[in-house]
Order: sequence, then C-alpha cells, then structure tokens
Amino acid sequence: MSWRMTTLNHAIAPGQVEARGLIQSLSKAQSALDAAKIQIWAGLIKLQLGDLAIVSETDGPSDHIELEGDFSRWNGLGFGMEHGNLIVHGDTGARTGGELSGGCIEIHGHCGPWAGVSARGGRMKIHENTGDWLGANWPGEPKGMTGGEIIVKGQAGQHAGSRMRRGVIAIGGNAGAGLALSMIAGSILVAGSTEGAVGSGMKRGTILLKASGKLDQNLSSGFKSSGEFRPLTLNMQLRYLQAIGWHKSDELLNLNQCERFSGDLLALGLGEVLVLH
Amino acid sequence: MNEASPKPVLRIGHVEIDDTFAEAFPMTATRLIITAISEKWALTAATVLTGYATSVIACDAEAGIERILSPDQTPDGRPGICVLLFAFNREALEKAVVKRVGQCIMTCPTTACYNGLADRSKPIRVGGRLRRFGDGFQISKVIGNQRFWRIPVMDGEFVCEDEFGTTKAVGGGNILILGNSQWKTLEAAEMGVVAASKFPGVITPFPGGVVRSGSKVGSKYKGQIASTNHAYAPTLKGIVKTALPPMAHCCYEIVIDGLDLETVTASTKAALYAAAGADGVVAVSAGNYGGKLGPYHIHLKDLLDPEGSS
Repeated sequence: MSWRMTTLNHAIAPGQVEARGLIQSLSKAQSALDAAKIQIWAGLIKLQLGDLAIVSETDGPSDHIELEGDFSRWNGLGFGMEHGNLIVHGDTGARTGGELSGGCIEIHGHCGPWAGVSARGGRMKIHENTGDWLGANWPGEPKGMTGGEIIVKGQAGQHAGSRMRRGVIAIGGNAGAGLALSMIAGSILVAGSTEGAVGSGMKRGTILLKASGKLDQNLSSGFKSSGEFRPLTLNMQLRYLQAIGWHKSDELLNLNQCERFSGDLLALGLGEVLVLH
Repeated sequence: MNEASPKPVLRIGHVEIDDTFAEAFPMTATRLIITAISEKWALTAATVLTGYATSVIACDAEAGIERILSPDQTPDGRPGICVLLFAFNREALEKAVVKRVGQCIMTCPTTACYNGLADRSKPIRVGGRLRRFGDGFQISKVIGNQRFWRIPVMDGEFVCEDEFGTTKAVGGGNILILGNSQWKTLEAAEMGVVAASKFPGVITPFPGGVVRSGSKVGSKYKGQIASTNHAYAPTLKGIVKTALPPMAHCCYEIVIDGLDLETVTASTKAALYAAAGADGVVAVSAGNYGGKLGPYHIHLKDLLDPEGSS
C-alpha cells in the first residue's frame, strides 16, 4: 500500500512532533481512516495523525510513502526504516533517517541535525542542506553510521561522520568543522570546502576533499603526506555515486592529481585523506 | 577415448565426420577481470595466471583467456582481460584462484583483479584471503554491495575484489582433427580454435588451444591415470588398432570448457565447421570414454546442418 501525507497548518501542533515509528505505522495501516488514527506525540500532547496531516492512499508501488509540506518540526521521520521508499517534498526535522537499515529516503528540502545518525544500511538523499552530526554516533555510543549511503547535495553542518564505522557519506557543498571526528572506517567525500579539525582522531577510512587554500590549517596535525597517489577504487566509488545520483562525481573525476595524507597518527593512523587538485 | 574407428557416415564437404560424441563433464567455474595500466600488462598477468592450467588431470585448474576488454568495459576504466578458470568443485577452485591471483596477478605491475560473474550466490573468497599480505596496512572499501581490498605494494596498491562468483560449468567438450600432414592439420586446428573462441563464456585451455597429447584413461603402468591415446598416434599405426583413416598422418584435439552446455555445443560446432573447411583435413572425430565419464554428450551428427550431412 502506498500513501501520500500532507501537513496541515503548524499552529495545530503545539510543539515538536515525534515522528519516530510513524513510517512503520503507516506501512501497516489498512486504510486512510486507520492511518489518520495513528497516535503521535506533539510536544507533550498525544494527537492523532489526522489532526496534523491529511493522509490519502495512492496508486504507487507498495511501501512507498510521499510527504508534502513543511515537516521541519517533525523529528525522527524514517527512523529505523528497514525497507520501502520515503520521499519528502519539503524540509524535515532532526534525526531523519536515524538508524536507517534499508530502503531509501529522499528529501527534497533541508534536513535537521542528526540525519542518518547510526544508520546501518539503506540510502538517504538530501537535496538541500543538512544540520550537524550527519551519519554520526549517538552521544556516548562508540560507533556512528555502520552502513548505508548518505548523499547530500548541499552543505552539511559540524561533525559529519563522527565515529563512522562503515558506509559512505557524500557531501556536495561545504562541510562544517570536525568532519569525520574519530572516524573508525568508511568513506566521506566532500566536494566543497571544510572547516577545522578534519579527521581528528581518525583510525581508518577515507576522506576525499577538494584542494583549497585553507586545507593545511583544516587538516588535523596528525596527518603526514604520503605523496601523490590516486587509488583505483576512488574513480569506481565516484562513478558509483554518480550512478545513484550524486551530482558532484563528474567534477571530481576530472581532477587528475591526488595527494594522499595518512593519519591521524595520534590515533591508529591508518586512515587517509585524499586531496584532489 | 575412441580405441576403435567408428564407421564414418557423415560429411562436411569431402571431410568425414565420425558418428560419435564428445563427452563433457560438470565443473565449477569463475570469471576474473584483470586490469592494468595498459593492455600489454593486463595480458601479461592473464597469460601468467593461465599458465600450467591445461587439464585437471595434473593441474589445479583449467584456465584460459576468454576475451580482451576495452576500458569502458572494466570496473576501473583501464584495459582489461577476461579469464575463465575451471575446477572440479568450489573448494578446489578457491584454492587455485587464490594461489594464482596471489602469485601471478598481485606480483604483476599495476594490475587489479575483479569478479566477472554477475551471480554471486555461491562465492569463493579471493581478496579476503590475500588481504593479509598487506600486513595490517590493507584497506577495505565497500562500493555498492561489493567489497574490495586495497593491498599496499611497491608500485602503489593491488586492488582485489573480496569475493568472486562461481557457476556450474561444462568441461571437456572436444573435437579431434585428423589430417594428412602435421602442418595442414595444425593449420586446421588453429582455424578451429579461432572459431571456437568467438563465443563468450568458453576457453580452449591447452597451448594455443590445441592438444597434441590426447589421452586415454589408464595405462599399462600402475599408478599412471592417463596415457597416450595410442589409437590416434600415427607412429603406432602399424602396431596398434588405429583410429586413423589411411590418409590421416596427424591428429590434433581442441578441448573446450564453457560456462554452460549450450555455449560449449555452439563453440564445438563452430570449431568443427572451421576445421572441416581447412585444407588437408581427412576426418573429424571426438573423444569420449564410452559415456562413463560425464553426463554431457555432444554428438557430432547433431552439430551438422541439414545441408552439411550426406
């Protein structure tokens, strides 16, 4: 069964809407009436979904849910999703796609902080900007994202890929400070510029950056140059990302020179930062 | 193989086609894509990898170069070579592939090695077994659903896919080309090999695709599992029951391994017609063990076009 949901006026919701589990409940609903009765917390008040949005059944493929409107105060949309498609035409709140393990989430808008936090699989595409802690770990948890693919066409906030263990994050715009903080493994690609402390505490994994004047200052001091080297897998990864819709692959594929920095030597030191010229 | 000459009742042009069959048997196969900085180096690696891989009688695998790939057909966008390897089962195949990739491809400048089979339901682990050569400096990279190992070596990195798909396959398709001279028969065999190799999914694992030492099962010597196929040896014509027609003074065999019976059959047919159309060929036959070795029987009469038989 496939669904379309359109938000009603914000004034109705007295606070942040906790949408964790909503997509799973929608998938199980037998009718639009059922769906409208799904209970949902808005601030400290429990409401029915029908109070906040208009839900209608559509003719699309099964497990396909489309949301329209401003969901920027709806937190946890697509949280723990295991299969199916969630497409949002609008902005979403915090924790969108958190603990995602399968299926695909596509957001045609901006996305709040903690998008894809501790994701385990699946794919997430954000067409505009996203907040801090993209694909990162929950506070206190040893591992961030452990699988899946996150593509951001716009910019990402601070600490993207913090403690990331596996998977790939591709950011089309700029990334904030603390990129790949204590990264354990996986791949992060940034087509724009970065702020300070890139790869600080990184053990393994790959960060791909485009050369910029500030790179020397931004790269953590525990990185040492290993000379010019372009891994074969880099072009393969860029072509793969191109195939799944990352618009910056072409631009990066055309940059021929690649310098490799190894680090962070203050941690395990087996990570790499590849800088394309 | 045939120890008695069956009555020829079929022909392609003037060439007699024995009413017999090639006896093929089940094998397990995998396909490797070897890439390098240039076709020359990819071909070098592929040639070394497929060396000493003619027959599972004494080799760990049967292997051959399937085709050359252009850069747009390979995973890393470099020139590449497709290689097929065959063994009796998946365990034996894994052992052979790991050893051969480790010693023949990883050692060869600029090369990388990727899986070439779409079906990965029954994989063998290759890169995952070679990764420890990296001594802890190896890097795993997952792209889509595939894991690749980047092993640091002296010219950069050796990239090898973690797992390679395997498939049930067919080994031992063959024809025997009987000619009136060594040179003419060899030319005919070469033409047969070219025709057989045009099909994707087949290899002719012997040197140049041609076998001169066709074998029969067993020997007069204890422990010798295979020995010369004396019925086709021209120098023994006078002292054994020969399978060679009076005008034939040389015999070459083309052995064909393929990913499925249909392809092996089509390839055998192409080889048969190419060889039969060559100068100096007296007859074409096929090797079998009376149906005891393998379940796949490729009857030569079934390969003849209606207008080709008489």
